[in-house]
Amino acid sequence: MEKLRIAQVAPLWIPIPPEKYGGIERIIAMLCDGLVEKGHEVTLFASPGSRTKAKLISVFDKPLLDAGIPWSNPIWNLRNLSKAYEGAIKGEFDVVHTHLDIWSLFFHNLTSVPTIQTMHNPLYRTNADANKDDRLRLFTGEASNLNMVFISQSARDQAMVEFPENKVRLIYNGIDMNHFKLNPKGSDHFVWIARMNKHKGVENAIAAAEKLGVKLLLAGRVDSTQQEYFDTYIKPHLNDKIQYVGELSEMELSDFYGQAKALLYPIEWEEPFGLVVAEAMACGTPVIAYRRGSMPELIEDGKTGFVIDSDTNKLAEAMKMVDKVDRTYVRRRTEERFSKEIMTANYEKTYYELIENKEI
Amino acid sequence: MSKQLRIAQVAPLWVPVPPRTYGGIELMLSLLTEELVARGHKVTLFASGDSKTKAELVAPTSTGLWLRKVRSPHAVIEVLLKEVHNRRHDFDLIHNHADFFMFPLAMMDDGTPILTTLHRPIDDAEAQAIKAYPNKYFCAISEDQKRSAEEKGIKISGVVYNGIDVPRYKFSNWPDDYFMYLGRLNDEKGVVDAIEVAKRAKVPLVVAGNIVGGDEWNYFFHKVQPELNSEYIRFVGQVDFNEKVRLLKDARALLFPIHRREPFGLVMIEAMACGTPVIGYNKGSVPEVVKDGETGFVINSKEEMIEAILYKVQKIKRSACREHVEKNFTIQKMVDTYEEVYEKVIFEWKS
Repeated sequence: MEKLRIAQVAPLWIPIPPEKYGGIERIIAMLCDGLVEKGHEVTLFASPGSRTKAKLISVFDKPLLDAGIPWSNPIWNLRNLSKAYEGAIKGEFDVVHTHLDIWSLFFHNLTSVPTIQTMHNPLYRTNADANKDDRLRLFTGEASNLNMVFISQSARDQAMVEFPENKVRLIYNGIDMNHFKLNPKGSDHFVWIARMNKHKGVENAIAAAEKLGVKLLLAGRVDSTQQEYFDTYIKPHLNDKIQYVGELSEMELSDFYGQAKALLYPIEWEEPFGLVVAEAMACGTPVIAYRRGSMPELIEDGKTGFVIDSDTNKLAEAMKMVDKVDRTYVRRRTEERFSKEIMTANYEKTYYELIENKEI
Repeated sequence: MSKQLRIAQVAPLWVPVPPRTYGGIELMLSLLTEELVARGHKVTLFASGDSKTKAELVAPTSTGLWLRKVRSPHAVIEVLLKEVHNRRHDFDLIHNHADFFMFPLAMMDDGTPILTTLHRPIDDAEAQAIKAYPNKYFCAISEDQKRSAEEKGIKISGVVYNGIDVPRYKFSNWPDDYFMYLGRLNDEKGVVDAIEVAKRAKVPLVVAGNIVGGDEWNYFFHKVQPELNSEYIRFVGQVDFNEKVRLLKDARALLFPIHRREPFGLVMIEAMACGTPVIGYNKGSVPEVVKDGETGFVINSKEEMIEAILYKVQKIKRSACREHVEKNFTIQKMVDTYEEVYEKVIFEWKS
């Protein structure tokens, strides 16, 4: 196949990949490196300090978070897109891939070079971001001629915009299987990891663990906006059985997941993907999740974990059955479905399709 | 009359044109648009759907975004960009009032010149963004703002003072006993200085204005509200046009203790149009807009402001304030100057 010149346009808040938290930035980093390894010429429009095998172009001299620019100020993300499309207009790229939510409405029409956009965030109202509603409605009438990638069938099905079949792709996020080692045995305790907030179901995990009297380790960042929640609802439960271990670096994750009997993910929102689910399963660790968002797609019920109704009693029941899961199978299925290689190959295939029939 | 032009006017979409209450840019833009239509130009106004205009209205959103409580304008700005871009060949000139949001339009050099009026102070980040885009023209709203822009490396094609519809501002030669603060209730507009000055001078002060966004609310609750409980302070909050004029015309002077490099300061000419002198800090446009000693005082500290309030302001002839505005800050003058700038930009673009 002909090698492609690909522009990847990333959000500018933090460098790529992220030091710790930042799912979108991690995906972009893996995708860029994967495409370069396949011989493509990739230009990444991202913050300075990004570590990438692609050619890096930064329109601003700092990550926006470090510069104290509020998220509602789009001046630099707009400039970033402009910079990428200036290149596209001059014929420097064969395809432009943006990761900036809904910004490419205007830009994609400036050039015959096809644009594909990954919708990393939900294109539907969620209890995690109720204010989104109006913004989405504004977008609704305009978005249907964009080429869209959804990161799960669930994210696509719930989208408030009708997309024609030929405009939409489903590409699951991928993870670096080398960072996650199979632990064929696990141990006796359970784990929960996410940004600390109610929607991620941390209270449900605690309730189930307390019912069974088992050990549960909690990990993940406590944002300043969530400190009060943490202090009020989580801290009082902490003891030698329920422990909070803080925010983990990528290097610590594999041991954290691998040593667990299972990851508990009793979420209270329609999560579009859930990277931690794939990461845990990469270590062979089964996942027990509530039937919300993408969970039924990511987890093979009874085989790589359990997908259950939103009920802490059922969660506790499932926790008792988790020994039946074959951890080697969990790892193998994850490798087949959620490796970064699979993700990169799917994107590559999509780019070729877009270029072949430019008018889709 | 100059040649008839086809002009796009692009508004920020936060509030309608004209605004219901607060919104200096939208008020000025409304006057400009209607006067251009009256002069026979073909004008298309891109603004929220609750705007009122004799120009052709193109509305990417049915109502102003603040009224819809849209916190993030991304999607609708994209729609606006697309609408203007798709019609760019219908215009001789695109006049942008939505600052950097419209800069991406300049990426296409096949169409129409884009003139941006810089309504706000230019910070370093914005200057950096401005310079990153090709092919644009800029207009300042005071000589000082032009200097500020040029210090940051931005070329300015013209200076156009804001104008107002002077007959709508009632003149009074016999003010009440109070002084006036009118503007956003934030730090850079100096509301806390005005309150402190009034208390120390022991004169009544009417505080009117609005609050936008979380930071300003925070400032209001912690820094402004505790100061309001005083026999000298009357807090009236946000006011509509009629109430604004009534308060301004009866005030002895407008206090304008600005902390930032104010690019213009519409409220100063509104006050002077009513015959009300302005006592303002020597920052930004203030010495250009206020004739020191004739239509108010350009001072440097709270102490000097107190001195002006107590001993100097009664010497100002209120009719001189009105005349100053009638001569320099009318709609006609503003639109005459814009027509000159439009011709100049179109000429430069073509050659």
